[in-house]
Amino acid sequence: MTRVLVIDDHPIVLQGCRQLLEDAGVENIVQAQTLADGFRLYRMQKPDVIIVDLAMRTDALGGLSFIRRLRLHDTRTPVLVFTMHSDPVIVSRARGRRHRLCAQGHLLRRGAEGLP
Amino acid sequence: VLQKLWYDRPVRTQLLIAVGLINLLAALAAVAVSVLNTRTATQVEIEASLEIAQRFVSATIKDLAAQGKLDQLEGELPLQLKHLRHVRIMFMDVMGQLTVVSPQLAAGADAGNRQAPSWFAALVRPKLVGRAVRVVAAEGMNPVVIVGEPADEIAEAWQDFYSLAIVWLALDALILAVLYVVLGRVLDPLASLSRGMLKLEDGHYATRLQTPKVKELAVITNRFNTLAEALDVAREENSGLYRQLISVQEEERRDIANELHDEAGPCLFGITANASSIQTIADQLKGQRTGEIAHRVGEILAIVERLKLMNRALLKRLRPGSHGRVGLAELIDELIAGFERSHPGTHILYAPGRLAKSDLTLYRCIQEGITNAIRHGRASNLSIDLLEEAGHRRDGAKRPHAVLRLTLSDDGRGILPATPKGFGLTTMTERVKSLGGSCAIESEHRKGTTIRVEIPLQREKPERARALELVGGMS
Repeated sequence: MTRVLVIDDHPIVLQGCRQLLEDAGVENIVQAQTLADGFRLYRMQKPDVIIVDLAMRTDALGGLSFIRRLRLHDTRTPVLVFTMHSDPVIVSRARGRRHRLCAQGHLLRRGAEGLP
Repeated sequence: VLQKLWYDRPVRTQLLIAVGLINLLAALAAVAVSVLNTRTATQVEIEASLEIAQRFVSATIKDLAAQGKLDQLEGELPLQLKHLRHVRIMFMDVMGQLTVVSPQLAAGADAGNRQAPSWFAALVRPKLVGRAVRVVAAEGMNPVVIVGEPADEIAEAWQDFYSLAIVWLALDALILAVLYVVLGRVLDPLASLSRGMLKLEDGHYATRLQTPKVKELAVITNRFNTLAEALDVAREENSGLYRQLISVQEEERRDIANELHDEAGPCLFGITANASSIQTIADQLKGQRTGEIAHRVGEILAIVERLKLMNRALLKRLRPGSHGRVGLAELIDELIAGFERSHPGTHILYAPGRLAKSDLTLYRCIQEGITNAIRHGRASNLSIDLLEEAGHRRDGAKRPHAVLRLTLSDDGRGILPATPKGFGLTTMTERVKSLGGSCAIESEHRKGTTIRVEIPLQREKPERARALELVGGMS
């Protein structure tokens, strides 16, 4: 059973994500509202996929630092970045090999367009 | 004509002309009086001389006749009469020829006396008709004719007149020269006041004038300085208020943008997600009304999509560039494209030159300029020139100082001179000023408006620092 960890600081976004994931057949959904909680849950639950918001209220590009930290230990768990940014520079930074972040995809929160 | 000849001249010239004219009139009056006096005096003198000469000649003839030496008259008479002036004594021979016997014309006799010019002689020559010639006759001799001769009297009068004229001219020139200098000194503070006013008008509120020594002008100058000081302070306060206003406005924009981004965005996402979920559920259900549910959900999603578009447009307007690392040039392109989309009748010609990074001021200037041209000027054609050029610092230092030059011209209705500058244009000017730049707005009624903005460019920041700054500015 696929386990998904969703990290976003907004409860409505978390609820919306849960809805979409459940509709897609994912049953095991873990949620965190802060990056620290998210990291703790990652270590405890070892999710199969991580969805993280790029821009947290307290940290403009907190999602990037989360991925960077995660990739120090784990280069295999796929990460989806959740963002309002469509700027290719930011996106390539999240996905880029140079930064060894290797997020597997980015999801634009603004509409239907999204996963590449 | 009077305006050109008199009123257009400086006060100094007017006063000098007035004084010169008064002097000239006084001199003319003096000439008239002196001519009249000279004429009377000459007449009296000549008549007296004739009288004396006649008596003298008669007496001499009598004496010589008594001594029987009448034949010596021709030799004797000039000797006796050599001190008589203003008369000419002549013998008339049998043929009626006149021979002058006195005064005997000695060489250089008139050398001391300057001959009067004919106009002067004509002015002062007395009328001696009928009485200018005396004839003394006796038996046994040719008659002696005595003629009054005013020439040497006139020459003397001319000599006096000439000397006086020279003195008058010298004095007059001196008076005018002194007046010229004194008036210059007195009027100079007025000129400097006028220069000061012009400077104030040009917006140099730090202008102060030196207090002149003339008391009345010192009062005016002090008043001017007080006024300039008050204007300076008021202007400074005004500037401060505008800066505050701009920062409050930006802060407000940022807050609203943050709310839209952090709250409205997630809520819209939540609605989309939930509506999509309803759609999924409806698809799984079987029944008559599932089609209706799907239809309603589609409506909701369409409305949300509109809201999302609006949200994005608002965010872009309120906080351009905060969505990511986008350059100023792209932002401006996007802004202009947005304006052209919302106002299809308006054509905007945009000619960007090489663009360095700049803060939002330039973006706001273009935004405000276009809004103004479309909303107030009803312009249908706009042209925007943007280029960076190496200029010179205002203080005249040789170090080249790159400036960003923005020119916005439109063919709109223009701004009436009496119209007070609106909030948008004023904040734009203040924004530019706070960066040390300048903003000039030229407008003619019905002939469009041109806005010229010049912003000095700061030295390029190192790439890394700028990248960090950009990332820090995002949320």
